[in-house]
Amino acid sequence: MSEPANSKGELWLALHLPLLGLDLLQLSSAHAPAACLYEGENKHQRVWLGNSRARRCGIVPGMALKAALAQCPDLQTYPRRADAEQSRLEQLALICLDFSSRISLEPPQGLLLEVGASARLWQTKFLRRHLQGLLREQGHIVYTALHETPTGALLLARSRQNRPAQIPLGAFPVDAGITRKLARIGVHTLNDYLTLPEKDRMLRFGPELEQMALKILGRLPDPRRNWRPPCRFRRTLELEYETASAGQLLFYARRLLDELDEALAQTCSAVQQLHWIFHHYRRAPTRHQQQLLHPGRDMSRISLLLHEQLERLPLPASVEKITLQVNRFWPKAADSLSLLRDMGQNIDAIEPLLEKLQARLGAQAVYQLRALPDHRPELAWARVAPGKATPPPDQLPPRPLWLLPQPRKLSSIRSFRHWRGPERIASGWWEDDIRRDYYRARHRSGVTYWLYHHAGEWFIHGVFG
Amino acid sequence: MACSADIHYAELHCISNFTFLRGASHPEELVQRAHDLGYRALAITDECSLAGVVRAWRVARELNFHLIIGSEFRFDDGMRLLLLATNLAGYSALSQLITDCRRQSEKGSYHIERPMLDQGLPDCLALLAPTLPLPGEEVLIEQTQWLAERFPKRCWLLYERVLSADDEQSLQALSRIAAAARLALAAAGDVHMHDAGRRRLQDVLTCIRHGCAISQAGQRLYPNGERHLRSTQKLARLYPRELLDETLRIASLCQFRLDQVHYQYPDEIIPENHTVSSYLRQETEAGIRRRWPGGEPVKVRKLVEKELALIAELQYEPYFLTVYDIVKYARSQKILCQGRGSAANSAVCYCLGITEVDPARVDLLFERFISKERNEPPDIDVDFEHERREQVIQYIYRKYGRERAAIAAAVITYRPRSAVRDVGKALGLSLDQVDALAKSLAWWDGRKVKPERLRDAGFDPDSQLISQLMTLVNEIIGFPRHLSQHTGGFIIARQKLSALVPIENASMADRTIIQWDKDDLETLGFMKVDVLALGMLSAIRKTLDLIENTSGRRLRMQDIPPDDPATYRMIQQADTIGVFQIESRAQMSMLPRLKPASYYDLVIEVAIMRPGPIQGGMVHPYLRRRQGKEKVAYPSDDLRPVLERTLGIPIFQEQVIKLAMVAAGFSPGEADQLRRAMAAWKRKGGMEPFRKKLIDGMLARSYPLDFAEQIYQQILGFGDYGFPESHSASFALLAYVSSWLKAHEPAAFVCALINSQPMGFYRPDQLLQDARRHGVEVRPVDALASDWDCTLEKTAGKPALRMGFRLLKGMSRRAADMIVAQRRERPFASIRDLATGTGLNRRQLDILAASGALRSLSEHRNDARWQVWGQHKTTPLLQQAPLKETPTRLPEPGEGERLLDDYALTSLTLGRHPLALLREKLDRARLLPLGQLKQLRHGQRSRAAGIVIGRQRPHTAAGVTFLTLEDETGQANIIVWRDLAEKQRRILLHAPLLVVSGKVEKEGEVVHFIAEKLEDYSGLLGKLQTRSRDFH
Repeated sequence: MSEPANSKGELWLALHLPLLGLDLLQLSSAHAPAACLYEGENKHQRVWLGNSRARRCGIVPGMALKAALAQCPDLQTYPRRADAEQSRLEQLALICLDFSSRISLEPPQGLLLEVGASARLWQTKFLRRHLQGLLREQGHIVYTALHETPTGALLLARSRQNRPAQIPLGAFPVDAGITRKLARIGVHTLNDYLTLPEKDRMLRFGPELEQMALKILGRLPDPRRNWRPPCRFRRTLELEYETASAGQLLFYARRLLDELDEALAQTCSAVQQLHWIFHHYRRAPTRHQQQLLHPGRDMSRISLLLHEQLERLPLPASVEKITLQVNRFWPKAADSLSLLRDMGQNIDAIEPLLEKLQARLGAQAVYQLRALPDHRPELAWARVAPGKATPPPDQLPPRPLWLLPQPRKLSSIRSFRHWRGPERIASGWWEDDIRRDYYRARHRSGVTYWLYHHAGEWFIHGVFG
Repeated sequence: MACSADIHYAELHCISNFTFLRGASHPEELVQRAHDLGYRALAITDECSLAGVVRAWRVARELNFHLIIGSEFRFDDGMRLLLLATNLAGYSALSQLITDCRRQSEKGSYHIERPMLDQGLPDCLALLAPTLPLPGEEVLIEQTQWLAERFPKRCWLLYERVLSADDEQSLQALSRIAAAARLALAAAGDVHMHDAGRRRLQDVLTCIRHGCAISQAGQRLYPNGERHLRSTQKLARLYPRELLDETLRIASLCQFRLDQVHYQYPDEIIPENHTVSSYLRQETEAGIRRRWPGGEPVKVRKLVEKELALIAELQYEPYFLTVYDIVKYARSQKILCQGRGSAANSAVCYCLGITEVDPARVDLLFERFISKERNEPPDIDVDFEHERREQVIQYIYRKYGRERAAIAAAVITYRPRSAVRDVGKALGLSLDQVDALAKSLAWWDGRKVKPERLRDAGFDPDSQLISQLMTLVNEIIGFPRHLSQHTGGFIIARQKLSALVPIENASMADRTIIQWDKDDLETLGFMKVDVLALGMLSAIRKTLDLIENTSGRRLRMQDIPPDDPATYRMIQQADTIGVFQIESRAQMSMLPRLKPASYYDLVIEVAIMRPGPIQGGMVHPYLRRRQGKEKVAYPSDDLRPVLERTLGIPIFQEQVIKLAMVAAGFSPGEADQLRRAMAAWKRKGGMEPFRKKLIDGMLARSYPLDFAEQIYQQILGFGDYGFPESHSASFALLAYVSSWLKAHEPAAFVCALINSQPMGFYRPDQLLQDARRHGVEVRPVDALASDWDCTLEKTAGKPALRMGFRLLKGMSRRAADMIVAQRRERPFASIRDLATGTGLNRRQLDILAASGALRSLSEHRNDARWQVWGQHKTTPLLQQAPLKETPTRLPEPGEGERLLDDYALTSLTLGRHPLALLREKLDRARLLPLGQLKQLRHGQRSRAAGIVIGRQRPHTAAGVTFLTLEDETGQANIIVWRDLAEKQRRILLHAPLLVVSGKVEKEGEVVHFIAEKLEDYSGLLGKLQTRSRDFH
């Protein structure tokens, strides 16, 4: 096979991390217990990747997770987290930025660096070894390869071959059906494939594989998108003098918020979570997280809230720097709010109030009650965050609004009159079994109570309003 | 408070577990409990269903307890109404209403709307049972008024006090409403279970119904467990006296008893100018002339007269004539059929052509099967060719109409696996856990879930959750889940069937089933004709056709010569792969010992390898006596006539029943009860009283205890698999016929067997291997020669078998037919020719190429594939212009690759056996070829490898698994004892290539290899797929 002609003098270094997802869980070493990642829900869970011990048990990607477990009952299984893999690739790309300005992310398992330009500075051999070392330090298993084309480099790394002609067709990221088909007529490597008549092979096996082959041969352009570090907001402001006063800190914080506002305006975005870091001299910084009920861009409201919070934020020392960091920008949404408004709830008015109450009393102290469809009185309601309760079911049996935190034992029921009942509640045998006969009865004092009888004893459980 | 002694009550609102996933008690339990509590009556009011009433009736009849038949209906607007039958007319109207509600809805559901009751329902009482919490008063007023207009003086309002909030207000409101509408108020209990102990199960059923976990079920559950049959004392505390009294008034109006439902035979089976007797006589006489053209033997004449007299006395003529009519139709369509069962093996049935078992040849006494004393209904099951049974069914529908003919229900009940699945999910186990648990009950764990299995699956058997789960699972097992169709039990009535029993839709389109199963029908004395499907009949008919096509010789089943020595020789050598009944592993191991040499030997052979005789320990004594190693003796002279034909050892179900009468003093009625209990004890239990009676009775007549205990064990064994002599007689005939065909026409027989798949015990590839071992030439699938079915090709000598397209996995019938049709017009010259001519899609072409079916049109399979993949749909214009292709030389596939393809597509290779390819490796591992195991001495140890082609775990064989291994040298039977099976369960169940270490056991010609250790060598097979059929 002829060497590819590359007029641009490019040279690509491919990094292939075959067990990336397992690297993240520290399960990729040869000594790790059999483990695999899976994708899909419930019945459709399939093995995505297994470590070497799993492979030895016959676990292969694509097999049903259940089958895998049947084959290897000790197999540890974890859901695959593509987002975590992606962000690890980005972290690694950041490291690689030191060696090349042209980097391409090749998820799910690869990175490409164009090293033609830097090859003069760094001996390619050394660079390869150096990067391998760096990645291994990070806990990765990595294979590398160099080739004039990105596709060639990636496939060589993936298949751990030296010459493109030897690349097995199975290494190509094409529909497995195609390579299986080729294998069925005895065509196993790139070289085998290229010996088939060009026109006929296109007809039979489609353009996908063909194009990759041509890219490796340098007969088709193989452009890659340059990776850039992602954008998010992080600004640090050095204070003119150290202070611990809430008012002064707020003054500086507002400057950061102005900058944030500008950044948000440019991208038409909103924020929901703001991370404040107050740096002290020779001390661990104080961190504070601001959480809004909904993504928003109302800086005056944010600074008002911050004010409330700063007054209660214990600072161990005076502050010398403030950092504001926002990890995620939200697309600015106004429609969802208007929907709520149509439902007749003046969310605009209540939201600032709730946020204010929460800021004053603490987030846990403000809640809403929600009826739960359980027969057992203790489990028939729940606290939920404000605004999260659904309307109660239509037909609730008569229940007191005020339920005692604990039923209180009664020594005598002589003072009660006008008994109504019993209502027998006997449920929960699968966890907290109760069996009670409830009565409504009026106490001498005129108050109607909710009483119950259980195992020969009487308890008071609630008060009707 | 009233004194409990004078509290009388009739429960009028009670559902059983035939209100699926709501009722938590069996109908029998409810009746028994209501009786025990001193209730005056109980109404079973399943929701739009009468499916449980016969079961309730069976108990009520025995207890002489007042059972009321009714049904509950829920309307779209929330109204809940009970309708109770007061008399037969009311019952019929109710049955018709249920039929109407169900027939217009999908299987398992119903729909009722008020206009359906616009005329009221004659002779039924209407009870309005408002659901809780009560709907608004206006709603109830409207409902009562509507009802009062349609059921004047026949309707009530029910107050159901189940201790919910505001019971008192409800009572006040209902009293007001009832007074306003001038109706009486009556008490009821909305009963869902017979005992409060079923409360948990009822909650779980609710969860299953809603598909939720119990922790999420919330108010979908009932707040308490009050919906059970409560003591009358308690009821007296809860209800005003007059409400309780009212229940008795209502009950007293319901005088209907289920035994008033009177079944009548259809009457169109007799031509005009005939009575049933004269017509049966006429047809029987015609049959005698046909069967014995030279005049019948005296013995036969005597028999016929005796039988006709008995039939007339029991008034069974219409039954025989109905079956005769169906069989006559089948014969007119050349559909092979064969009757079996108690009445089938009579001389009359032989004359009518219902059976081929010749009464002159064998001594099967009809009276043995039907007797006056025993109150058994006549029983004739007719087997038809399985592929053409539908024709017969459609004939029955045509002849009697869908109004009058329907199929009996089969009640599908919870089994351990489904129970664990549903209960597990309801208790909140994850799907994975439920699966693990369900899987831990692999098919042989019996009916209870063992703690060891739980531990295997990673559960703690002592945890609360698991102990609850197990209790609930054991309770729910046997609960009905839904009604399905019986395999072929037809019920045909003179009048409209829906007036006798509700009819509902089955899942199969255009099928309707009645709400009762075969036991229910038997209880009420309904006639049932079993129209069953039997694959072997299809195979026999096809074999006979093939013989005619290749040799011109027309054989009929009755022409096959009896007592053919060559056939018996083959049977004695257990060379019976493919033949009927005696082909299973267990049967095959018995044949060389039993050495059947006559038809009756086969009757015994068919019946002996079954749970009854095995559990009763009857097999070995019989064998010893047969081999002359033990003297034939009888437990008593009285038993001699009962046991004579089986050398003093009871083998058949009929013998055991008879034995209970002779040796234990059972009355005919008791014997009949025993027979029924036998069939049902696995599901319901209830054998204990019989055990005592049997053993006491036998001891009293001075039979040894051992013998009594053995008989009892045998009775238990008959349970689900009771195999009476009357069925065995018919099956033995088919076993003989198929054996004869295998012995004399092996090519036609195997060809027909394969063309009748799926059926039988062996896969097509195993059948073909066997045929090749018997010298049948098997030719591969070839697009230029094959049909869809396998065919016989003429050769100079014996015919050769051409594999049909049906043996190719994934090949469609339509594609195969296209090829055959096109080929007939013009033979294919090239693959391109074939592809364009037939318009086959790529997938089908691919299968042809891979299987080598294009061998005549290409160099090799790789070349065929390359060519096939180059075919594109072209317009007709381009069709003629050959596309220019560069000639390509592709590597020829190796033997291993061809073999993989062969296995992938046909599970069979005509080339070398896969293990032949691995032999070198196996030799290096010092593994013996299976063929050499036979040459080892008894007790010698060895190690051998083979592909697992069969795993069988007979219910009977106390934990033994029979494995069949195969390699290029033959097959071997491996026995895996329970301990090893438990220890190496996973390998045993899953490994396709096994290495077995163990030792040889020889008994005469029978060689077994007892496994001591199993190893999974499947890795060697690579992608080679082998599959084994697991049998229960």
